[in-house]
Amino acid sequence: MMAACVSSAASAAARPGARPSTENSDAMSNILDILKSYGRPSPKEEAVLDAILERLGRGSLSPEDAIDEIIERLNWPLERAAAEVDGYLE
Amino acid sequence: MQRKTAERTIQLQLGLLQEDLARLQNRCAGMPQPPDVTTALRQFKELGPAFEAVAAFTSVMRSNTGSLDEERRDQVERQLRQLTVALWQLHLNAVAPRLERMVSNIAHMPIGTRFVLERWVKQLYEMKDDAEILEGLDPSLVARVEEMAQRLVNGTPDLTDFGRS
Repeated sequence: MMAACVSSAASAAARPGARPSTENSDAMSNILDILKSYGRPSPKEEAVLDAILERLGRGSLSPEDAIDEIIERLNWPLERAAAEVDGYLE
Repeated sequence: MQRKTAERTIQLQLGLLQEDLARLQNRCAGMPQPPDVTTALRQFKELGPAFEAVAAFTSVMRSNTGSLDEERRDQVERQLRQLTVALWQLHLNAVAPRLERMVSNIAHMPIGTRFVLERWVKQLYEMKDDAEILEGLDPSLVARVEEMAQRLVNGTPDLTDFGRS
């Protein structure tokens, strides 16, 4: 449920013209700050993450489901999973 | 408490892995026989990332079993090995007809085929280093796939082989 809320916000932020560009760049900067704090994923984690994001890109996964899958498969906290999805959608 | 959470996580992940395997089985079963070498190569290339993502997930799971007690950890590792064997068996069965098609018309394989096949042969050798996986597979299938892949590596053009007529 929480994932869905975060993700909905991410989707709204990602829509072209939804916010002024400075806010979009602030959002991206926040996302990068979050991701940096967790360090780089391992190559195996990255392969799993890429497969999930690829399904998101193809539209076969919603942003909410993508966040849930990242949490379930990689044991990552919600904040990190949401930041990956937000970053991908940005 | 931490063990209970780890147990719940691993149960969930094993379930996801079973779903991945079932999804790959359906995908492979629904793949038509390649009518030509171009289709065969395209299908072969499509299968790679799909299997690699699931294999990466099993590795991630394996690295997360540390919070389980020893008996449960051994049990989960056995399950992961069985699933890895099932994945490889499925992958080998799926690539074999594609490789057969390519080998049957090796002179018409496009530039870059060697690069793709070299990568595959490398993965195959890495798998063969793991005796527990290898002994679960059909040896004649492994040998046939390896032989065909090696023939393609030796007989097809590389990315920079523009001079080949």
